[in-house]
Amino acid sequence: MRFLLRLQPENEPFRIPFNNQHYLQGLIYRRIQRVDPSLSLRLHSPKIPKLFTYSLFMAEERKLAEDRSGLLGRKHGFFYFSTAVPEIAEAFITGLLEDPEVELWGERFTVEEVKALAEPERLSGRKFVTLSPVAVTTKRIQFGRLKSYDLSPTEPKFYELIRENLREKYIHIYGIKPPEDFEMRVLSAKPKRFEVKPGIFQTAWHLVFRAYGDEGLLRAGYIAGFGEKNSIGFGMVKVDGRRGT
Amino acid sequence: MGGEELRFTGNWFIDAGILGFVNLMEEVYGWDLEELQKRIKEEPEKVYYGYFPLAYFYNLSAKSDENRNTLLEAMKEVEGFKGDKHKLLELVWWRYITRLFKDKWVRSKLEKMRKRDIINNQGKIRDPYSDSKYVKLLEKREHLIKAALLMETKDPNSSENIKCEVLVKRIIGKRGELIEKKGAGDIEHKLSLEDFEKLIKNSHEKSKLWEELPKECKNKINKAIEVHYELEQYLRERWRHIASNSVLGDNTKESKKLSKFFRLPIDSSFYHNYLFFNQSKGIKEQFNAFKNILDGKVRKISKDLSKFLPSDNEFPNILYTTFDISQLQEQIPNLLAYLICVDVGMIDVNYHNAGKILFYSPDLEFCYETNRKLREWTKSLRESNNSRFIFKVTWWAIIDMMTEKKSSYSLENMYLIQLYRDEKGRIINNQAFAKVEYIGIPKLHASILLDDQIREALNTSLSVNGSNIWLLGRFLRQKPLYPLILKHVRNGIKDSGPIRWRASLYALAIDAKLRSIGRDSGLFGNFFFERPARAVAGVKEYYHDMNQNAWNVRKAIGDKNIIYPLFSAVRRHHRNAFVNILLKTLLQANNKESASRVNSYIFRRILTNDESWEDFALALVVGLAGGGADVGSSEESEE
Repeated sequence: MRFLLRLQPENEPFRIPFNNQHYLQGLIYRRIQRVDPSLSLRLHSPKIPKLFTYSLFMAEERKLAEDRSGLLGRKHGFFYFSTAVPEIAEAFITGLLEDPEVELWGERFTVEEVKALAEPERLSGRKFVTLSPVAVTTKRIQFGRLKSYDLSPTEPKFYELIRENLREKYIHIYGIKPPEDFEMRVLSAKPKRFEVKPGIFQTAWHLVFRAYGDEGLLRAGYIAGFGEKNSIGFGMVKVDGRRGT
Repeated sequence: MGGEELRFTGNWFIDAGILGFVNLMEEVYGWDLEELQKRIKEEPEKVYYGYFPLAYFYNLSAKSDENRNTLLEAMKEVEGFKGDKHKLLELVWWRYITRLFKDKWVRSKLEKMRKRDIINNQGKIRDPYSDSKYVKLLEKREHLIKAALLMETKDPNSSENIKCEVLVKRIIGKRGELIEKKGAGDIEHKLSLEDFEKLIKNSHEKSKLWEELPKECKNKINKAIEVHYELEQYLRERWRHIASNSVLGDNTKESKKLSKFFRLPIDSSFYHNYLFFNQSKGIKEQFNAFKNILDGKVRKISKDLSKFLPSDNEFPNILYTTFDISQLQEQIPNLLAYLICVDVGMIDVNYHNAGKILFYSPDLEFCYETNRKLREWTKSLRESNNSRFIFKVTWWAIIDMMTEKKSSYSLENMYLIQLYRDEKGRIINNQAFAKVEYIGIPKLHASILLDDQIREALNTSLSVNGSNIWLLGRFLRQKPLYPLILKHVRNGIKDSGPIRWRASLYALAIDAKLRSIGRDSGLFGNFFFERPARAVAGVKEYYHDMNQNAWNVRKAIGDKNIIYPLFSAVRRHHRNAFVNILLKTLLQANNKESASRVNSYIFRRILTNDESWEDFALALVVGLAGGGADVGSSEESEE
């Protein structure tokens, strides 16, 4: 299930940092914890796919800040939230209902609207556009040490790991053996480097791509995110609704 | 020899006969099913060859004190009888059954006031009246009446000449002519037996009008009365001899005529022409036909016995119009005795054109008890001229029985059999088709109905589009309840009509439960067999959730303006629109606790429920639009 959350800013223009994922992550976890602490605890445990993702924070009108440190937004701010686990959505939305006043990076907002969004009936062959960049990492030996390495769409392993990741999500969502059938053709790619935690950076990719294959597998990506680190704001996509896509 | 216990066969027509048989014995002897079973077990021949014939014909006779006494006398005789079953039947028939019809038989003969009434097209006396003394006395009476009516005298009021006919007309209060000219100088009177009895009464009472009759006319009429009495006396005397059976003699032509003369005056609007009801049969043939029925010697039946078989007119090939029952008789030895009782099992409903009805289920005890209730209730229906429908009354009898017996097993195969009345109010007897309506309900529905709370909640009428619809009836017909509640809520929103909160929520809970069950296709697994038991718990769980959150949404949202868009979204099956309207409003709710609960409900019952989300969504609209003033304290709401 997928939601659009529209926020009314207290001040205009309001600032939007480029690296805004961890603020949203904080918001999500705090609201979940408020309503369902045990769920929040479970979500904090590592090695478990969280099966939720969210987009970057956006504004209805925006421009680059003069100091180029971020964006300046006007009118409403908004972001998307998607999960394969209804309890997560329920807890998060309930948390927002109970306290719609939120503070992100020092800016104050009021959640004005939570909108459930219809999901496309068919995914295979459709054009996807990332709402938050796709991150895929692997371990490689660099200077004699095994280090985390951010893969790019130019590397075949990028696709291989996306597929394996989708299959893992598939098992968690449907509880059955995952299919193999998945193919992804990138139409355009743009790298972005994010500071996900102070001093920790992640290179991820804004993509426009077409995906083909098993509907279940594609749906797992659509609702829980493509690639890794979905629960910290990577890999959310939308289906390009333009005619002919 | 022990008899076999009465059991239903699963064939509704035969079972209707068995039920008729049970009803008949209860009506006449006051034996309930248990008593009858006991007697059949102990003395089957006495039941089938003694008590049953007696009861069957007693039921067709006039219910007079005299006949009741005859019945009691006969019962004693049967009780103490020791001997062959056929001897028992003969005893019962010739000594008692004939006695039951004495008055009716005598009257049927007396009713023939003119010779013309008893002759056939060839001018010969018809067999049922072929008795020389009877004919002679009848002619004599006719002649005297005619002579009296044709007499002329002076009018006591105007001193003009006047026919006695006119004065007689004044006495009997009749307007039309009493004398009819039949061409060639042939004249007949048109007095009926009832008219003549009025004259007799006036003569006995010496009424003023009678006293105004001229002496000659009075004399003639008195003579006619004397002949009438003589005729009646003669007939009674003749009938008395019939009890010995010897009066009929052997199989000669003369004895056949006599047999027809003594024909039992019985008729049935249901069996009409069947064997012993047939007008052309004499009393001996009637006896033999009945005996053959008890002995199971009738092998084929046709539409004259079962209204549901095709008639000769419908099927030119006669072979298709009869039905061979010999194989059935091997399984059910007294089959024919039951088949001639089908009409006794039916309940006469003097309401609209309902005619006769019969409730049928494959369980004898259940069927018997339900029909008994139905009989009582239809009686009160008739007395109170209540406008409840037969369907509703039938269902109440069924439900009543069901809750009494706590049995849902026999409810899947039920029928409501109905014979219509014609425009004159008579039960249709002209081979017209009778209706058989299947009214069975699945075990699942039955188990839901067994719950007192649910049943009571559904037993209400909802106003929909200007008319009231019985919710329980709708459920019993296995129609989805959601569309009805949707209309009811619309009615409430649009016309500010009352919304029946509890009934609506229970209906929605049932609808939701049935939809969720509908998707489980695992036949013959544990799940399938445990379904009915779980359904009630499921319905209640849904109801409580709906009820709680209908109330929560009321508490959380004060703004009634969202009812219309919410209702519109449900009506258009637009789940996301519904959720979005609600979430947007809930974000501004003051009562955060209630808003949280509603949100949880939205996720559990609407967003993640593809089968029945509309039911749960509509429950919230009911909450916003309906009454439910005290839902919070008692978990139940006002309607």
